[in-house]
Amino acid sequence: MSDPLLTVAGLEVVYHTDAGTLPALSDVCFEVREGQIVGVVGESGCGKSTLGAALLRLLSPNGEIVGGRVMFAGRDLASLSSGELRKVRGRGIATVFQDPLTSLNPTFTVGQQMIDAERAHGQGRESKDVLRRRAIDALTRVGIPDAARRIRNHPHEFSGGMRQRIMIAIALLHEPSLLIADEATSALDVTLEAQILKLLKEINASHGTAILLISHNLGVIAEVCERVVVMYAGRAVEEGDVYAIFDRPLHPYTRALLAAVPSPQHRGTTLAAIPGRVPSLLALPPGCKYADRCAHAVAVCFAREPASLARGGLRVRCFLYDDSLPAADKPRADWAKAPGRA
Amino acid sequence: MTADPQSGPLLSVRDLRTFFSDRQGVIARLLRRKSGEVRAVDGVSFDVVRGETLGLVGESGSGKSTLARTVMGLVPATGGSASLDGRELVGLRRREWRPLRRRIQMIFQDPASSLSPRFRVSFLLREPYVINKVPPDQQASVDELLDMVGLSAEQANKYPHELSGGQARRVSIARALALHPEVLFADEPTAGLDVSAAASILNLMRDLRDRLGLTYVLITHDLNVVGYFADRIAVMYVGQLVEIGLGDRILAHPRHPYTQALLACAPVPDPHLNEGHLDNVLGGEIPSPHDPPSGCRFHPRCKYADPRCTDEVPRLEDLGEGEMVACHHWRRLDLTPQPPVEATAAAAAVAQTTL
Ligand SMILES: Nc1ncnc2c1ncn2[C@@H]1O[C@H](COP(=O)(O)OP(=O)(O)OP(=O)(O)O)[C@@H](O)[C@H]1O
Ligand SMILES: Nc1ncnc2c1ncn2[C@@H]1O[C@H](COP(=O)(O)OP(=O)(O)OP(=O)(O)O)[C@@H](O)[C@H]1O
Ligand code: SF4
Ligand code: SF4
Ligand SMILES: [Mg+2]
Ligand SMILES: [Mg+2]
Repeated sequence: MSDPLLTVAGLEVVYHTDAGTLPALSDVCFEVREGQIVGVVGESGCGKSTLGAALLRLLSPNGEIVGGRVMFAGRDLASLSSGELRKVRGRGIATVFQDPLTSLNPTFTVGQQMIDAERAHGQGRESKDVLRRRAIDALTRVGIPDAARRIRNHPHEFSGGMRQRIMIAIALLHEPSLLIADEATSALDVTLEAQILKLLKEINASHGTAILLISHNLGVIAEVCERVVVMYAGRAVEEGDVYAIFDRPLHPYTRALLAAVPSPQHRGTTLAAIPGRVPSLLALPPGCKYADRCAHAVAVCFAREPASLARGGLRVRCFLYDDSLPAADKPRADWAKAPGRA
Repeated sequence: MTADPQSGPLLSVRDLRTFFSDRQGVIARLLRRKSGEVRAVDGVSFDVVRGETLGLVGESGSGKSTLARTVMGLVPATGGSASLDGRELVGLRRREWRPLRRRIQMIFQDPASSLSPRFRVSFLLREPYVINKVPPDQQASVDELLDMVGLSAEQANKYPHELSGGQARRVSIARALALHPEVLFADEPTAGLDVSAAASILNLMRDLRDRLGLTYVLITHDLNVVGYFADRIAVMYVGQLVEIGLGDRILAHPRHPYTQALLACAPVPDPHLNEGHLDNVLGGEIPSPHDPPSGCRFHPRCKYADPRCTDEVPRLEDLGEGEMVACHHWRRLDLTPQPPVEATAAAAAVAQTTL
């Protein structure tokens, strides 16, 4: 197995707000190996985008990393100067976000923006022709037909799917070893989504680019990821191989998420929506953050936070699997009363 | 299912057309050589019976929202007809719409922009009564409406930006329900919601269908959602219906190559079932309704296209029992998706051995 490209250990992030300091990420640990596609999934507000932004130190101004480490290609990102960090962004780690229109400048042609992006990452000494050729190659690679001509168009002259391809082309300009894609296909229809996922998989296969794919769509995760991190209230509550996560999920939250997905097979039945909602970061409960929605919760779940344990090839944060607890205090794995697949 | 085929259709759409003029501004008008029209909806016909849910699917830009807005009278029809319980809706004046407006309502695609940011939820929920001059004794209270869509009473004092995506969607549903409609157009009601919020919206819609006997036209490009919710499915491409039929039949045995291609693109939440799934992704993009392809509009992307498809427009063939398809060659194509059973067994075996 290859070495970890990215190691996130005990990452803690807060947002400073008028209402107080919000703990947005707490003790998040996971790895991305070279060439791996890792999915991050969870309900809205669980901290997926915060995680993606924190890795590159691109948090909004009121966000702060207050603990833990992010190691990328053997270097601690916190120790880098802003110049070195700029090199990592782009060449080492690149990002693609949900809405390409807000990331592309409407007043410049796609070609100008791509050449600027190349210059920003230290390729300023090359001639404009070389930069232009590289931009055209990058666009061709992501499937923009007639790229040599299209490079003179403005962003609004492209469809939504094409704009997302352009964003991916820009992200790939410097052949990053890790691409962070935050809901990169969520605004697209099924065909464009499938086309972009296919493109990401091809890039992964041909260039060995590792991908951190953030999505709340479990279908998308199952489609392309090798490993999955399930986030809840700023914690990684379960992590492991995609087959294990979908076939034998351990955490009650993972099971509930999977059970809520509509499908033709559920026709005529009530969907297993998860009762209640993600707790507010301003008033997080003291114990397991999922306790008030969990059908298995017992006293200990409300009293303290479960640690992350290795079980069956997965890492899981739940007292159901904590053998150090006396049997009488342990929650019971009575799946019949909980949402989830049997 | 409360669909009753004996009674006539509640909603009946015939050859409906909505063309937009392509001239946006003076400059664009002067510069544009090829002026003309955008045929966003181009000859659509279907029926919906009381209590039924018709799912309307198609790629972005296929004309789904425009079709709904035209039936609702929010966009003028260029031609054709749409009738509710035998009453013609096309060409009605605003005043004539008033008594009908209560019977047919819409949940808009983007709840954020359809809820005015200046008003609190309590006002937004009363607004339909004000606009439609509903007498007070026929009005539901704000609390009743909030309760119906599973929101707590405190939400009444919030402004739209203080709501989550799922909550805003519920307010939008409550507004549509305030008038006790018989027909509800739901335009992408779960788009942008996470899986749990989407599941609660679908449960809510299902519950309302059972309790109030609502008839839905559910617009979405999520095939898992239509597969779960719709009784029948209509597939739209560049302003036209290409196939319509029972949901189970369409999902198991699509007849139109476009339907097959859409189904092949739907992401499956099971890593065993999508081995090689992305190999069959439909390539290219939906053409502009400004300048649709000749013959069959799907021919540039269709892997079964032959010269006849480029020249001759396929007619929407009526196969009876509400089943229709528009393809020259559907009879000799077998588009039934390969059963994933072997794939599952093989993948499971692999997963077992690597553990
Ligand atoms: N700049 C900010 N200031 C204060 N709170 C913030 C800020 N950005 C995010 N948050 C809060 O941090 C939490 C995590 O947000 P984040 O955007 O990371 O979630 P997410 O999992 O990406 O959700 P979604 O699926 O909706 O994109 C949320 O409660 C959010 O309200
Ligand atoms: N007011 C308008 N003027 C000109 N063209 C329009 C107008 N409204 C829609 N169109 C065009 O009509 C076509 C159909 O648009 P419509 O919004 O109905 O599609 P849709 O199927 O609802 O797509 P989506 O899935 O993205 O919501 C598109 O090509 C669109 O650009
Ligand atoms: S720790 Fe307790 S409350 Fe939390 S998920 Fe496990 S059983 Fe449920
Ligand atoms: S008519 Fe021809 S091009 Fe159109 S869907 Fe059928 S086979 Fe394909
Ligand atoms: Mg996010
Ligand atoms: Mg639409």
